[in-house]
Amino acid sequence: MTIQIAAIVTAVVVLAIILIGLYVGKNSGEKGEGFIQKLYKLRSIYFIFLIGVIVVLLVLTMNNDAIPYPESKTGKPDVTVQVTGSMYNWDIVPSTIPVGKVIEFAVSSTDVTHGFGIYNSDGQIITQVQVMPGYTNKLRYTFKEPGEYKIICMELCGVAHQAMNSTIQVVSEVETPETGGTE
Amino acid sequence: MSVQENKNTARMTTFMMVTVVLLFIVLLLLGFLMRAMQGDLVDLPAGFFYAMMTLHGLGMVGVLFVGGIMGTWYLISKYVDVSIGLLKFNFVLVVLGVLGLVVATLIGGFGPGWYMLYPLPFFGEWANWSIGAATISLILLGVSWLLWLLDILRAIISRYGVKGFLAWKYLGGANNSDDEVPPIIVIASVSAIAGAVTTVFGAVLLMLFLIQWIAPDVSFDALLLKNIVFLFGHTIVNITMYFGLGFVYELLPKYTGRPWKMNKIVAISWNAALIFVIVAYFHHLYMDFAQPVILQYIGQIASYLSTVPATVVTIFGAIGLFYKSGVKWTFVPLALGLSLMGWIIGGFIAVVDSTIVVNSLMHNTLWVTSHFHTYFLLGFVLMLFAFIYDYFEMDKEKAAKFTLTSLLIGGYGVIAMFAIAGVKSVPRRIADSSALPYDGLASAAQNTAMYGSFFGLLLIVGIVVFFAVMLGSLKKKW
Repeated sequence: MTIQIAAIVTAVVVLAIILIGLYVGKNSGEKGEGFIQKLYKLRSIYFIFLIGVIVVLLVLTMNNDAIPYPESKTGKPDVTVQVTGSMYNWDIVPSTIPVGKVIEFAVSSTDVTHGFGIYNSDGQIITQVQVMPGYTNKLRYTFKEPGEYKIICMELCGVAHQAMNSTIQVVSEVETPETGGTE
Repeated sequence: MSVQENKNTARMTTFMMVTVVLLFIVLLLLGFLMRAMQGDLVDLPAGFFYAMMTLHGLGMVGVLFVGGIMGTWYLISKYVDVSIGLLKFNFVLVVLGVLGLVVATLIGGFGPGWYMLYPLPFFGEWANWSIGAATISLILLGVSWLLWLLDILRAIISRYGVKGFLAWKYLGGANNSDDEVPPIIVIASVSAIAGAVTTVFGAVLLMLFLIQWIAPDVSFDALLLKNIVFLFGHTIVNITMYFGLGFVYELLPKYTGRPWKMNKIVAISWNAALIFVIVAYFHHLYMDFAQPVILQYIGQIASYLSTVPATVVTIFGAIGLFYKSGVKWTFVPLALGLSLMGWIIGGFIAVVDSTIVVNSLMHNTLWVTSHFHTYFLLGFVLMLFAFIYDYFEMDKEKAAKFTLTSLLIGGYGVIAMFAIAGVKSVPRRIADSSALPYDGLASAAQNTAMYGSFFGLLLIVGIVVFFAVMLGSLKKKW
């Protein structure tokens, strides 16, 4: 959904930029004066509008509900999954996890920086985090749908980077009462 | 006599610009080849893809930066005494640096990508000597850039003084009757300060690389080095764009017949840009959750705020220059007008991705690639070509407009293919589309790359035509 919104907003703004460009271009060929005060007024209105939009968007997007960082998350996760990236493998324990639970992926690397990207069954990315040597990054996610999810490496990590993929299974708990990592 | 009237100035500018456009075409061909590989039109080893990609990225950042600083150097040489001797020295360093990078990547296989994310350079499958060759080459380039930026700053400060070089005197209410500071001077100062400060950080990073190359047991903190590389890389790319905007401020008045005056608002705007450009780089590290959250917030705030000076001052300023000016739509004003559109469109795509929640989905997808290609190809390159056309007095409207058409169709085609692939979650830097683990994702990657390569070819044809016309005009400047 976020991607669709981003794409649509971008398309609308690009169209607006092109239309403004065409309008200015079309009206530049002939000489004329006396518009500069109008332009300054328009600029003031635009300035206030832009600041307003920026403030609203910052408030909407930079809060604990929206941002993905561990500092913004309260409470314990239901399941912790240990993820270790190394050229060119993912070691994911457990790789079968329950649907509807708060999962925390604790990701680390044994060599270079990798990118832990989770893709849903439609081949759309749903979340990601960088996997950096020397650090354990914690990514929380709650899967809404059971099924097979793929892990794709999102950071160039060497000549076989393109093949660094893996799979996790998201299941309803009834199916796998033995799920290892459930706390 | 100003430095601009010196015969050596014309020769060096000519020499440098021919080198820049020639290298640009070679690097474009690498871009085409990469897209052709991803589009399954060409079959080459993955290692070669990443080596080409590294050369394409480092090369484009370097070559376009050199084009930008060279053009700025030439334009400000009308006002200030920049050093011709240093320029010659820099030319040698740049050529050596570029040759070293070509050898390290295409022969040594060095392929960690243009930002050489630590510690990948030391873990890759490439030849060990290629790490040292690439690092030393970049040090040569870094030294030349640092000297170049500092010389520009020295020349500007000795002419305009401390109150003038960043137009601070306008903040205190000075007006243009007392020794006007042309906008390009302030843009050059802002770029030189941001560039010089961050190039020093870049140099430290390269020295650390050199240490680890010589003593492989040594290692450094990956997060710290990632911060440094983006502080440097982000800034150098952005000031290249600023250099291009300097061309717009300086050249547009010549064609629309209206001056672009320095005033309080322009001064505030560019001083603000200096701050935003340095702190916005944090947006490259959003997906590093170990980075303090406050820095992530600063990244988003600075990225959003950078739209204010860009649009409120530069775009409204340009509209004021164009609107009802009676401009003749020859190549230069047309390219400059279109370049501002490309810059704003590319900038907007970046602002979208500089939103942390969006970045969680778009980071390292081809969406990012669409952003910086718009910004450079349809923003900066058009500005550079406008400068070149004006400088060489090319006077070949038909050919130049063919170039413009092919750049617009080819360029926006290239970018649209990246953007569509990004929306479809295709990761960037994938040597082989068929390796992606979903049929739909793989075919989206492959198809967009194939069409992208066709568009790429079209724009290369246009640029080769431009280069030919440019070569035909050399006599005027020799």
